Amino acid sequence: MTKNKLVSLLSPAAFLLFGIWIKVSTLSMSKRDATFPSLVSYVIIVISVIDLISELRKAEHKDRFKDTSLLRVLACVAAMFLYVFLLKKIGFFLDTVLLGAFIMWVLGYQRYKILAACAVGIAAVVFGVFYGLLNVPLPTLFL
Amino acid sequence: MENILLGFQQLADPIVLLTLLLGVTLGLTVGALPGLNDSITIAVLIPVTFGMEPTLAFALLVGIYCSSACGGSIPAVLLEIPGTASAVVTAYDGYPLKQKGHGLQALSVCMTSSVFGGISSALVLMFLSPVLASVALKFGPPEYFMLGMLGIATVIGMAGKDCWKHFLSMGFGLWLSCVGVSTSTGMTRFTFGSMSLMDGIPLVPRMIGLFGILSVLKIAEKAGRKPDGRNSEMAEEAEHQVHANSGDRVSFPDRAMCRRLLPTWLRASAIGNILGCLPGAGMTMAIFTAYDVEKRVHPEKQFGTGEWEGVAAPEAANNAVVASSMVPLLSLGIPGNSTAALFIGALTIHGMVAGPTLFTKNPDMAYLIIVAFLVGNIMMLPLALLYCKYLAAQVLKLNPNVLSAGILGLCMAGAYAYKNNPFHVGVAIAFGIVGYVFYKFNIPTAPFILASILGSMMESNFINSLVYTGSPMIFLQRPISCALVIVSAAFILWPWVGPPVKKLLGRNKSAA
Repeated sequence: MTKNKLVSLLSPAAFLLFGIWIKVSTLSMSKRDATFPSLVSYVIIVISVIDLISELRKAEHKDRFKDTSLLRVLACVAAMFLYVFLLKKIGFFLDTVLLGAFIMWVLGYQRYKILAACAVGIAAVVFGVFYGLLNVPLPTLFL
Repeated sequence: MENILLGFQQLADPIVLLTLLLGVTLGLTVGALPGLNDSITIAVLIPVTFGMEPTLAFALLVGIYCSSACGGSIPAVLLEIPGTASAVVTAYDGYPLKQKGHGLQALSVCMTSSVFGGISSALVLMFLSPVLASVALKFGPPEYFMLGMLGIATVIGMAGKDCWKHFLSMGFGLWLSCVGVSTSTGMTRFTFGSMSLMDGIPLVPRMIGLFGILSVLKIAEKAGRKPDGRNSEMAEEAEHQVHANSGDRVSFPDRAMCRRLLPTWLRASAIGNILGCLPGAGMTMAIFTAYDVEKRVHPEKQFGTGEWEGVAAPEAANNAVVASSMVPLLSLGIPGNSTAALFIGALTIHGMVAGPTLFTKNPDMAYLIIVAFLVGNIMMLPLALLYCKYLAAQVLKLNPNVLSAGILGLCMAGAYAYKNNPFHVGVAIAFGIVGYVFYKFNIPTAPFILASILGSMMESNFINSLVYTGSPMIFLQRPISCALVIVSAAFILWPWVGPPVKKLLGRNKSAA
C-alpha cells in the first residue's frame, strides 16, 4: 500500500471512529436526547465505510501534501495557540504585535524594518477599532 | 409596497448610504485581492458590527457581498489570476482581451455585466422572498424539518462524484449542532465538561476560523514557493496600461455593445438567479453553466480567445447569485451559500432571527437588506468604473504577507470580542485547523456549515413532529412535507440517477 493511499484512507477512517464515538456517547443519554445524534452517527458510520471502500478501490491517489509547507502551517498554528495563552498575560496590543511580526516572518517577508512597522501598525489599527471605537474590553497590560 | 418604501426610507439616511458605499468599495478591494473574498471579509467584520447600529451593520455587509464577486474580475482580466473563485471563467476570455489591448474595455464590460446581474437578483429577492416567507409562516414542525433536509439535500445533490465527502461533512455539521444544552430536555451533550460549551459552539468564532484563519493557513502552506515577482510586475504593467494614452479605456459600454450583450446578460442572469436560490448550487456552478450556455448559443465564436460574451456571461451570472442566495435565507431561514450563512451570525448578534418571522418581527431590517442589495448594485456601476480607473492597479500591488497579518489580527480581536473570552479565540483557531484538514482531504466545508446552522432547528422540529404523532409517517402524511420529502430524495439520489438520465436524454436527442 502506497503512502498516498494510506493518507487518503485517513479521513474516512477518522470519520468512522468519530461516528462510533458519537454512537457510544449517546448510550448514556435519554432517548429523546439521543435520537438525533444517533441518526447522525449511523449516517457517518455507513458513509465513512462506503468512502473507505471507494478509496481502497481507487487505482491512483494524489499526493495531498505536494508543494505544501506543513512546517510553516504548524508554526502559524503554534503561534496562534501561544497568542491565546499570552493574551491575558501581556495584553492584546503587545501580543498582536508579536503574532503579526511572527506571521509575516514565517510567510517569508524579509524587510525587517517594514515588518516591524507593519506589525505595530496593524495591532494599533485593530486595537483602536475594537477598544477605542467599539468599546470591546480587550485585555491590556497598562491601560 | 409600503415595506419596500420603508426600506428605501431607512437607506435614505446619508450615513447609511455612505456605509453602503464603503462596503461596496471594500468588497471591490477584497474581491480584487487573490486569497481574500467576501466570506473572509464578512466573517472577520461581523464582530466589528457588534457596536454598530443594525442599519449601518447590514448596509456595510450587504455592500461587501454585492461587489466582491465583481472585484474578482479585475485581477482575472489584468493578471489572469482570478481574485475570487467566481471569476475563474472570466479569465478565460478576459485575459486574451487584455492581450489584444482591450483590457480596460473588458473590465468595463465585466462591471456592467455584474451590475446587470446584481440588479436582476435584487429584484428577485425583493419580490420573491416576502411571498415565500408568507407561505413559510404556515409551516409546522414536519415542514420545517423537511425544509432543513431539503437545504442539505440540495448541497449533496450538487456534489457530483465526491458526494460521500459531502455526506461526511454534513454529518460533522449536524453533530456540531448537538453540542451544548439539549433544547428538549435541558441536559448537556458533548460538552466534555466545559462550561463554555454549554451554549454550543458559537457561529461567529466558528466562521472566523473557517474563513479568516483558514485563509492565512492556505497562504502559509504556499509561502516561499514562488519567489518571482510576477504579480507585482503584471500589476505595474496594468498600471501603465491604465495611464497609457491608448484607445483602450474604462468607460460604460456603448449602445452597440449593450445591444450585443443584452441577450447574454438576460440568459446569464436567469441562470444565476435560479441557481442562487438553490442552497448549495452557488456561484461556481452558475458561472460555468452561463459560460457553457453562451458557447452553445454562439457556436461560431471562439470562446477562450477573447470574446465579449465570454466575460459578460460569467460576470452577470456570478452577481445574479449574490442577492438571490439571500432568498432562501430571508424567507425560510436556509442560507443559499456560505456567505449568506454568515448573515445568520450577523442577524443573531443584533437579536434577530433569519427566516419568515424576520418579515413580521423586523420588517424594517428585512426590507433594508433587500433594498440595500438593489441600491448597492446601482451604486456599483460608477464606483466600479472609477475603481478600475484609479485604484485597481495599486490594490493589486498589496503584499499578501502583510495582509495575512492584518487578517489574523482582525480574526483574533473579532473572536475575542464575541463574548470577551479567550476561549472563543481558541474556538476560531480550532475551526481554522478543521477547515485546513478538510481542505487538504478535499472535504467541502459548505455542507458542514449549512448542516451546523440548520441542525438544531432540524432536531427540535424532528423531535416535535415525532412527539405529536409518534410516527415518522407524519412526514409523508402532510402534503407540503411529503412534497419536500420527494424533492429532497430526488436531490440526494441525483449523483447516482443524474448521469444515466443525462445519457438517456442525450441519446434521445441524437436519435431525433
